[in-house]
Amino acid sequence: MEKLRAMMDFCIRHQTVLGYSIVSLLTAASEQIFSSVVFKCPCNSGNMLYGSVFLIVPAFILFLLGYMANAKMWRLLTGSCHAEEHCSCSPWGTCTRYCYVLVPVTARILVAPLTWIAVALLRASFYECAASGSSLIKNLMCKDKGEECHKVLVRIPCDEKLLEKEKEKLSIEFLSLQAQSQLIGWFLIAIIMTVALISTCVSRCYSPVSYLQLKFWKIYSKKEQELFETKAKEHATRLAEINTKCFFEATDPAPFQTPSNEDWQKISFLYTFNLQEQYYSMIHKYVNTNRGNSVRFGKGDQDLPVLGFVDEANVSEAGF
Amino acid sequence: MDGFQTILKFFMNQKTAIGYSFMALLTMGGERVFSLVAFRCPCSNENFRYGLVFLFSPAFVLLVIGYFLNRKTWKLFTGCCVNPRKIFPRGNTCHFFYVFGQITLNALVAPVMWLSVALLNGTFYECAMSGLKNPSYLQAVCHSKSAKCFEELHKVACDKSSMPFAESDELKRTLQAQSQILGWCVIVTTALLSLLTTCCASCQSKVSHLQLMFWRVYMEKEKEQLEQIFQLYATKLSERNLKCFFENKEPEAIPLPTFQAWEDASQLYSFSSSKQHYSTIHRIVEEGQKKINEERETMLDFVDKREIP
Repeated sequence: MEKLRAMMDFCIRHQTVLGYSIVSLLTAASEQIFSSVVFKCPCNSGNMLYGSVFLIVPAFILFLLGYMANAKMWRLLTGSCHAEEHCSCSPWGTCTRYCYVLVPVTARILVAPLTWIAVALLRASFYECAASGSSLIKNLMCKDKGEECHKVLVRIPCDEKLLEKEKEKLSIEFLSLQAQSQLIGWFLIAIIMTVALISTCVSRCYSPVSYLQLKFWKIYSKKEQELFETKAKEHATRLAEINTKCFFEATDPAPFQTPSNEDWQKISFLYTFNLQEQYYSMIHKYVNTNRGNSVRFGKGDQDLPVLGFVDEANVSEAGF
Repeated sequence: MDGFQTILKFFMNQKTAIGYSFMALLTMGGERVFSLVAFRCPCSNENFRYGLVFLFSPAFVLLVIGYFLNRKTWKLFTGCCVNPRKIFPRGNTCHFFYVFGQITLNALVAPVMWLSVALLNGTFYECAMSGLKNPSYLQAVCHSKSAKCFEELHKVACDKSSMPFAESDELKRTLQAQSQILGWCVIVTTALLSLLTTCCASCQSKVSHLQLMFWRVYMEKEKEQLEQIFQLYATKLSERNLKCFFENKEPEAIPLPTFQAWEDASQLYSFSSSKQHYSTIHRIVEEGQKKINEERETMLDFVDKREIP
């Protein structure tokens, strides 16, 4: 029993990595299913469109789903149309702020779509279909060989032996479409991993907080999120009890302390970091600055990518 | 039941070995999957490029993942641009490269495993080398074969050459044999190098063997305790904050480490033979926050390492 718990602890500690791996595996598995069950290259002039749609559209859908599931985005967007009336910021300033906040979010969301594209390229069926209908490839491979070559080219995805048979006749010498696809897939994977490593290193480098404090911060964020849900449920239950009781019994409600609209507004701002004060979240900041009334509440100037986890809903305590 | 417990205990004690074996199995599995599903030698002049990409890209990806998973990388890089003195401390400028070198060596384990497994399998190497157009290599491989060998070597991997079966089969086997010999060489070299470096590091250790064992246990326990105390304080702090928010109360003070204390505690550990400190936190707690001269780091790199590869 204890060993099982140790294993569970291990899984929980490495949640981020496990999470990303599961996302990648799921994407790869569904790509496999798509490829073998659903995808049937038409082998005519519509190849390019068909292949590209299968390659790009699911990636785009995964991208949109990622945005919809991301808590930080909703935190940023909720009420932002009204906020501009109170805020004296220039539209340019708000725009840059939005971009600055959304860039790390986008980077994290891109995992699933890029996995799809990479796996699809490694399996080669989609690219083969698309490339056999593309005019660029046609010009590269069928230079001065006439219509015959074009016809053969679009039929390649449907008939594996065709290329061998026609190769001598039309003396086409080129890297097979499948091999091209796989090379592109590997380059894409290598580039993505390098960019991911470098950008994480750079964002970590610019972190004003040390490693252990960052670790503690992640744990705090997660705990605060969990406790917020619990406390919100409790509070809501009590308030609902009072209201419904008073409704049915036609009595006046007992005074019950609940945060005002303004209080909720204040804690829903996006977190900004201030080196002088050590606040781990907006709630922490709010509580320690006299319920947001002190001047120090507004003072926060840094939006740091490394602190991107602060307003996310599912924060892992381990990982990088 | 008792026997089962003993077996389980034995396995739990061999965590590192099991971790490495698991990684090796995973690599082997991945290599099999690749070979069957994705790898299709083009059998043209592009063999060399194709084979090399399939051989080295997964190794590169594993290397990057190794960097990502190593806690020491992030401990080293967090905050380094804000305060470059952190990683290039006065009088010890090579420290960064030393630590980075250790991290790289740890991260190289998985790629080397992949390379050895892939070479032992032979498919990737066979495809790549059959497309190599180097005259001296072609001469060495084709020296007692027909003249067609020089032009059609790249078709041998797909069994599509016009050479007699015996010849193309022999060429295939030669290439596979070369691959497997190279694979074994990689394994042997890596094993020897790791043995040598471990021996050298042990020789240079200023700490006795038993104390080193105790040190390892201490580091694990400290890690667990740190995790537990983080959870405890995080819960306390967030409870207090949420209670004050919902009930409109004034917050009571909870003592937490200062910013500077966190910074000091996050430094990479440097061994000092004059004091008996088992970690940075131990040192800070016993000596306060003042800086002390550190000697060069010895083999105590495990002090900041993860338990499992």
